[in-house]
Amino acid sequence: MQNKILEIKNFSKTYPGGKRAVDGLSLDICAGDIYGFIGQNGAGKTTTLRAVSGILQFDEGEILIDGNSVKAQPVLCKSISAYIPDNPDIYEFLTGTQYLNYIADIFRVDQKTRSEKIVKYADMFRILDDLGKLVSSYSHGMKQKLVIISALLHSPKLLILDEPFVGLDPEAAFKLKSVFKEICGQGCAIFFSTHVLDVAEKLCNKIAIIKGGKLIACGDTDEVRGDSSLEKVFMEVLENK
Amino acid sequence: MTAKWIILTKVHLEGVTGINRLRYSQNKNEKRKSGLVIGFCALCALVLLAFVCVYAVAFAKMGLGGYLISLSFALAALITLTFSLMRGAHILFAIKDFESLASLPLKKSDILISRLIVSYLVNIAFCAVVIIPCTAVAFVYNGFNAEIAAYALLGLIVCPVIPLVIADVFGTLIMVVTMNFRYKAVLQTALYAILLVAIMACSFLVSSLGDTSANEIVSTIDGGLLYYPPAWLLQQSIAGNGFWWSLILLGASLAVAAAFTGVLSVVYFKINAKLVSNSDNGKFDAKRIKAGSPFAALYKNEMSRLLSSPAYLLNSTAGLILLIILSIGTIFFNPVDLMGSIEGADAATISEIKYMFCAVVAFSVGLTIPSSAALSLEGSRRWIAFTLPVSPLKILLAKAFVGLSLSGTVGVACSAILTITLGMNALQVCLMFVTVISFSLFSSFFGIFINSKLPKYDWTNEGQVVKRGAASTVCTVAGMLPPLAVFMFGSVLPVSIAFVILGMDALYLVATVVSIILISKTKLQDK
Repeated sequence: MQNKILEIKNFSKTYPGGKRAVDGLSLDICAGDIYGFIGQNGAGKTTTLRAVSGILQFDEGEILIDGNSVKAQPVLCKSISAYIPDNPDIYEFLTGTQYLNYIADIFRVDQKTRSEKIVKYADMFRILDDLGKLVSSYSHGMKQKLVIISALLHSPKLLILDEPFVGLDPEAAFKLKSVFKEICGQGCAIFFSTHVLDVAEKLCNKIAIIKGGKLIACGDTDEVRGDSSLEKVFMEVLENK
Repeated sequence: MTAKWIILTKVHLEGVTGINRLRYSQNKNEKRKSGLVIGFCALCALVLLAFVCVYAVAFAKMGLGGYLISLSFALAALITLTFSLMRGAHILFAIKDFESLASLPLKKSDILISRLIVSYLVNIAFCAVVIIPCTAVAFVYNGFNAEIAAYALLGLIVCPVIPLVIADVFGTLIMVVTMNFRYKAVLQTALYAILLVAIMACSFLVSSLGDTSANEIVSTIDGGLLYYPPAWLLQQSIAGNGFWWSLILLGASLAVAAAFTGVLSVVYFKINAKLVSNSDNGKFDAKRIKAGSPFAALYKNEMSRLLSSPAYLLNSTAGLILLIILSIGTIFFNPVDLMGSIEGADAATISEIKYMFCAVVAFSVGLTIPSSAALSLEGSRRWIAFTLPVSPLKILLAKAFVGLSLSGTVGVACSAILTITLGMNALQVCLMFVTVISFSLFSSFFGIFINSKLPKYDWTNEGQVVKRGAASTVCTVAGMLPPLAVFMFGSVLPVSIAFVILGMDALYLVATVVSIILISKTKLQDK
């Protein structure tokens, strides 16, 4: 039996205004999974990801990370996961190095590990020379790369990403996919939302489709796709259900 | 077709006041909070109105009713100038939505006018609280006069214009001069502090009446008004010397505003482009990767934020700057020695004055509370704090400790100076330190507690939360109003002022403990 890293059980979220963004969503993500989460704008993807990462309060359902409840043990859950938002808005008054040090200090990453990882990933994403600069001088893509590096520093068991490829240059996008495969090989699970169906189809071993807050389809990518393309399946699913 | 500056003003005003949220939010809790904040602001305005009325009546009883309107005009202008300087030129420059505004088919003057009008509307509310009650009191004592009422209304309308422009001219110059420096926030705060000291010194020199006979006071006021020509112009019309003086005042105010808008329009985009671009050439140095404790990281991060933001730093330290000036000032101009030289001032009165300084220190510490905006300033970056594997209590305490380290160190140091220069006895020294410590603790922990209950994350300009945020308003009023009341009315109470201050300290310490208990139950999450 595979080690479940993320278990979402009957999760629902109703915003204070009364809008039900997610309705009874359940899915499991195991160690080594690259799980794609696709759906239209406003379908409930970001709401789900934000609830999993502990940013958003929810009353209905349960979310477990490595067997720990996000509601009951939020600090423990956050210490073994990492979240990357769709808009990498970060502290502009810090330099890249200061930001990475800040995150590493809070995740209690030791000196040797953080030095190695910062140099490794910053060099890989070609921002090593920019780490001494203030974040306010960074482009959107550079900020995105910095957030990705910060998320990898503490070797999370679960990586949650909202549209991670938006704003990245083709080389960085390619390298991010390589990093995904590398860390999943080490037992990490990745749960990310995307509108780029081609990426989801090629990169993910599992896929979930959400529409109007309800899970429409989920499972192995091959099963969901069948003999058709993911794009075709996605369009059919949206029209039929 | 509606003019573009009107559309911009409307949108900007909706953002500043939160009216839209109140009208369209489907979240009942959010609406309730907005309603409470509006009610609280109305209550503060009423209290301020009462203060002004008390002073206006005292002036009128001295036979100065004929000067009340122009004096209130000058006072309102001084308040506008001081508060506008304290907020800096941050409503004009480096606004978050600058790039989207710059991409729209707008004239630079449209953007500038909309920003200035919103600032004008906020300030006219303050001016109204000062000018309207003074006008009413003047009419009660001198009888109603429609012509004078018209001049008072005109005075109210034009009152904030010139001080606003003066503050924005200085703000713009300071921003331009400092924009190339790495620690521009510290430099800007120092320059603003010098300006505020200069204003305080000037207003003190002008307002030091010294003489006691009514005729001498009248001649001093006459001379004093000359130092602020707009007030003098208004007084000429009120005194019955013709409406032309008021027309000159109106024309001069409009001309000053138009000239400022016209000149700034020419360089507005250049300054903004320079402010939002960053040609930082820092090189990566592996030696800078150093491990530390989580709490130290949170504290350092908050301190970096404070030192990097001119609006945040200036508004967080204004009260403390006043306290530093005051305590150093007592070395050269000792008020106790001054009182001692006045005939009839007995030891008990001098002792009460020394206790009064405890209220002054409390007022200065309570005037600016950095932690009341610390959480709101996370803004769209709050996802970082919300996903960190540390308890919300630790995050909030780190923010509170930044304020505490500022107000605590400055407050204690200044109190030590005051206890020496004023020659306080052991009891007065104890009360002074108890007061400064209790107010420092209160301002830090109550500030962050209120901010966690009234956060505003959707700001386009830091000034919206630092200066005009609901949390910072509530905290400033709670921190400064009680000591201000003790300072103003303490001498008329039947008990020694020492007991009143001791009671106030005890109350604030209890509020601090309650705040810490409530902070420990706070969750940092979106709803």
